[in-house]
Amino acid sequence: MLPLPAAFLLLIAAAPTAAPVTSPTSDEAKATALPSLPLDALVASGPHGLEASPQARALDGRRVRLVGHMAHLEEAPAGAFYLAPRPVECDEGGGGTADLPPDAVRVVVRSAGEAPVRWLPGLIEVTGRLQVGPAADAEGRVASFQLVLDRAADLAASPAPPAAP
Amino acid sequence: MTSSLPLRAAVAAITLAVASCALALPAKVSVTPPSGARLLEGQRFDLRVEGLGTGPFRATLTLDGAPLAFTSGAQDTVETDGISPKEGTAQWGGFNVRGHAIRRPGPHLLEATFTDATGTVKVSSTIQVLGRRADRADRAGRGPPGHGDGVKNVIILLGDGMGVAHRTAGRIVKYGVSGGDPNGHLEMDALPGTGLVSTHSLNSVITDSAPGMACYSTGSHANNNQEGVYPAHVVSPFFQPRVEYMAEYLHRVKGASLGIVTTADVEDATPAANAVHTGNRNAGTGIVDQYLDEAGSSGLRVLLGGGRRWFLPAGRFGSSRTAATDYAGLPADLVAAWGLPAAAAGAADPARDLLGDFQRAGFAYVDSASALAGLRGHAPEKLLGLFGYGNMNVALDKVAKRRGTPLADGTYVVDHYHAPDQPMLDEMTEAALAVLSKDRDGFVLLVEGAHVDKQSHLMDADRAIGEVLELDAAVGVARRFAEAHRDTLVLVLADHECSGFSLIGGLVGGIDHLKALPSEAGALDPATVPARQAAVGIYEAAGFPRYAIQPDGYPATMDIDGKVLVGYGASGDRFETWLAKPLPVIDSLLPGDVKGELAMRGYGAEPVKRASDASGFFLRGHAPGLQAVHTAADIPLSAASPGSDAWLDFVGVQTNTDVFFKAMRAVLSGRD
Repeated sequence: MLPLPAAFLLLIAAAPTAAPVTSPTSDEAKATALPSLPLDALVASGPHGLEASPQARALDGRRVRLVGHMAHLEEAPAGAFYLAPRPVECDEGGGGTADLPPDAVRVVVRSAGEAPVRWLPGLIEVTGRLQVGPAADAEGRVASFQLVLDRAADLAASPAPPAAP
Repeated sequence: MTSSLPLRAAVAAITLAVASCALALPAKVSVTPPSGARLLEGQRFDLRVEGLGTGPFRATLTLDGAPLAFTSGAQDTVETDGISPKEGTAQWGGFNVRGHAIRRPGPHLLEATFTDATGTVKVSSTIQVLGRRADRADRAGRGPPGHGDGVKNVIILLGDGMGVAHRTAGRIVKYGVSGGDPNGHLEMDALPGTGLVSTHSLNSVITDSAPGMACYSTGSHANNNQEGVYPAHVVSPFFQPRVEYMAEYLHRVKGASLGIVTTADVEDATPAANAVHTGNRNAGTGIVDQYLDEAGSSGLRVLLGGGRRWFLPAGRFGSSRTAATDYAGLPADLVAAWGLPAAAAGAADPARDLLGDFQRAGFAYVDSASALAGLRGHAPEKLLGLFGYGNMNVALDKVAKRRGTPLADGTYVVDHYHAPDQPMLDEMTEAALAVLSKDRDGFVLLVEGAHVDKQSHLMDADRAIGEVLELDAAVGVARRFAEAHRDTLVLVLADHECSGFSLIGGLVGGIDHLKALPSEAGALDPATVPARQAAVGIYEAAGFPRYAIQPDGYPATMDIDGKVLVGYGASGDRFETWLAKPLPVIDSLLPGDVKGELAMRGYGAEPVKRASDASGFFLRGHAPGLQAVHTAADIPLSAASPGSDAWLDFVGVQTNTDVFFKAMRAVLSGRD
């Protein structure tokens, strides 16, 4: 069984008997002060087609707060999930990530290890460090945006959040 | 007498060990192609003998008693062909004959021996070679193929996952029924030849789309997830033993061209299983590279669909190219035997500008419906169209943008995917035919309506039906082309059925009543009949639904009084509302809303809800998981050949691989 974090983090347990999400704590106050960007503002049109938006590039490497829907893949990636601006159902495992929009963010859940992350419907909020630029997972799936999900220990030790851009 | 017991025990142990070694033989020895495989006279294929054991290895192979020389595989070595992997402490040994062809129709016996350090195993396989010309028995008493029986072009329109019920649903929605008779018929209904096709793969009664297409395009069954290859234990899926595609054969013997049109990512299994040889349908980078690198073999001149992400250099925004999904260094004997250019050996080159390479190879490139329409009247020699980063959007969502009927928040789905101007499948088919018809040697065209399957997996009946209508419009284009170019064979079929799609009844009580029903998501007590279940009108209560069809050929709305209701025999878990699935609107992301959502989430016995079906009643699926799955049901086939009687060959019950031989014979009859 994998542990759950505080309320504003969604670190998903593989076992159905995992503990429910806890009520908000003072950590949530730190999280809501984090810079946030709507997912569909991550991408902009450029001279060579789509590219990461200036706002996204300004947040590269920083802890951010993102809200979106967990994409529902028949074959979920190990230890991660994709966050999309709107509900996305990706069919037949062989189709892979072909139904994800270009502004989908791969959220890496370090504590999940190689286990799949259980799908949750509806809006979810995640905080962690944003990486802008292509990143491939172990199976060669490339994401243009990646967020490494905060761990509870990281939050307890983190300094005051930076001011929003 | 000294104690000899320890010595006797030691001798016994040694003897037993030696005996054990002598009894251990190489494991998993096989010869490829497997027994029962069928090939066309002159069709190229690879043979392979492999086994798992302890080297050094040695192998022999005979065909009808005559020795075959291996093109790779060093005898009495551990390495053998250099592409056979280790497995634990054991080693695979492999010996190959690349690019072979048999010209004599009839049964043929392959016999092989495989030897390792422990012993020798013998295996055999009986394969069948079918002649290029149908004999009298095959033609069911019809005269020999003559001048009037010419087929030069083959158009295969494949509705991925489209079973009989999908087609019936499309007909009911588009035309309605009165007094027991359909008020009209789909384009695919009008093709004169009707057959039924079994869809099993080499390793299961239930196939996936890779062997599902490959059986039609090669005449050989393949394992699930594999296309254009036989199974084997090699270090790269691209090194597996190949079997020649229809397009490759016809390009080689008569200079025919190949066109591939799909609403999926062009890397997907169905389009790729016409030109790409790989044991891994997910190896996207290598798959798209092979389209171009081996276009000289396949005759590829048209490639239209989604999947722009594979054509952009790694590092460019949106690119999915990686070395992990690529291949490098095709075996030298494969390259030589299949007549590939040296450049086709491949390279792990995620930074490749594949789009630029296609253009440098003479392909005109378009990325929108407008650009595609701009080619009308002056079709290029070769055409590449990439209309989205991944899969194209579904028909109903593309139509909504064209009609100017947005979501509740004023946005359009196609805009969410940054692909605002996507063509419909019939428009893509028309553009493909304009290019391919320039080839006086004929062509093979695959047109895939990919989302029948995808939406059936998601148990979204309304969108699945929309996909049938989109494919049918493309069938209309193909029919009209065939009427004008009578040496054309048109086939409408599917790779498999998806979801156990069933038309179970019609909505009773009215659509407004249905929309006003409260949530029944918590109604899990079997003793309680959900109102939405009671809303299923069965037998005479189903009546005759009447959809208002717009000039663009699609319904004004799928949510009508008496709408046809669909159940799924191969369902996953779901909450069913019977309503067209909306996309929730996100106007703003207030922390309060998020807090509220988060507070509702938790874990436990509560079934998972789909965000779009939060109010429906729960239905436990037949299959594990939250998606419907493929079924083993036969699929319907429709055939037409205006200038010949070739369509008659497709009438009746047949296996999926039969379709390949019938189509090839239709093209090759009369040609030596």
